[in-house]
Amino acid sequence: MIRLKKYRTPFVYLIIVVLLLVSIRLTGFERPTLSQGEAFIRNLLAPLQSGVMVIGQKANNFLSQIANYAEISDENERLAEEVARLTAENNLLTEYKQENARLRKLLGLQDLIGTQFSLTAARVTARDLENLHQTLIINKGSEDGIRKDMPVINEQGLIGRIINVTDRTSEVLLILDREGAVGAMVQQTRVPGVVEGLGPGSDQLQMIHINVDAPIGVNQVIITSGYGGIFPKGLRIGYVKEIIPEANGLMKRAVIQPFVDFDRLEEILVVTGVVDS
Amino acid sequence: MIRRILFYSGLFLISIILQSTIFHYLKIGGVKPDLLLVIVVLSAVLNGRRTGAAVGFAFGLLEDLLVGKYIGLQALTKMLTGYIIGNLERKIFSDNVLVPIVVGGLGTVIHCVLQFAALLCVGAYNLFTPESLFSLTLASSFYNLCVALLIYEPLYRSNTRGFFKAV
Repeated sequence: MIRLKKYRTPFVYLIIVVLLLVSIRLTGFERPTLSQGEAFIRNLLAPLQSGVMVIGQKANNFLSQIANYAEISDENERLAEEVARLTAENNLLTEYKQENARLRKLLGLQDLIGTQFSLTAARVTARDLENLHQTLIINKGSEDGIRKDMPVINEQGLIGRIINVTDRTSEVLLILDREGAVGAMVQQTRVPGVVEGLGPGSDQLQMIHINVDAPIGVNQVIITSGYGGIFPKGLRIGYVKEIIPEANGLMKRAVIQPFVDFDRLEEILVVTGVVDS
Repeated sequence: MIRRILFYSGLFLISIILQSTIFHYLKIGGVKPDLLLVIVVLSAVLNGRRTGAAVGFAFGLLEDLLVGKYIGLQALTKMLTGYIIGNLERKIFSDNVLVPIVVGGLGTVIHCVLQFAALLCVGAYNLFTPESLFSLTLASSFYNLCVALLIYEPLYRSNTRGFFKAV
């Protein structure tokens, strides 16, 4: 009896460890919905997180401005000149755009033009809790028409996709996450591949499964290929920074610098649908 | 006992909100401090392995529910880290300034190793690469060690005197 009592504590720990390992295994995959308990905790914390995040963003912006005052002043001057130049260029491009639309219609490529995304704007209210995952929480949920697997973008490019939705919040899996892989291709040469994160702590991506002979070079732009059905074709991801041959000699991979500055995300757009105009 | 539970509940709420919001702006080398882990290891070294394991399990499970994926990963790894570090309680003087440095760094290394061992156990090989594992462990150990150094004194004082002292 005494001997049994001695082993009771280790036995309890062992059972807890086994149960937790089973739970990790069962919940490692994406689930269609969150449990009520999880949704409740998220909805409860959301307003608090939102308030603290706004304070954090303001403090961060203020400190950055102080640190970069001289730089900002020069940049402002330079940007004013650039705005004037771009305004003139923009007028010219509007003409080209109209001409382009007319020509495409003539060629019968109506399925390629006139499509646009219907978007819902949202604010980032919280970031990932741990270093292992790359996610963020936004202040729009199922009540605003957000659904699982909807792509998330901003004016810079692709951010990720929705993986969990509650009534008033949604969780976005960033493309930086190792589980956030995206079907992609090189914009200029149309070489296809898969873009995935480099792992915890890295802010770069890599494009894998590229044939060693495929025409791909540094500074070329990578866009979504539309394969896989989640991300529409043509969303900007990043540009090629480096090409690294694989050890097997048959394939190579490209290190991609994303267009999106993932450390400074404040407002984002959820693509709620692709509509024909 | 109830006072201690209240104390740790308050600490959890503050930590989870800080960690999911403004700590993002304190990232160094892509890594941010794990305040919850630091509290777990410090409570373990101050109160022993049973408290360490209990606080680690509770903090980890609530964190898992918020992350919503691999539920049990943080509960398991933080519980075991608290248990292992708690064994040091009787071997070191808790008022020594080296305690938070050793415990913060060592606890993070143990936690990282356990985390990756657990993920390998369940077949989640794709979440990390050997390089990212090494750099994450190194950077977060250093960062957590600094955070431990900052919060050890108030935690030690609350543990030994005042309304929330351990009985």
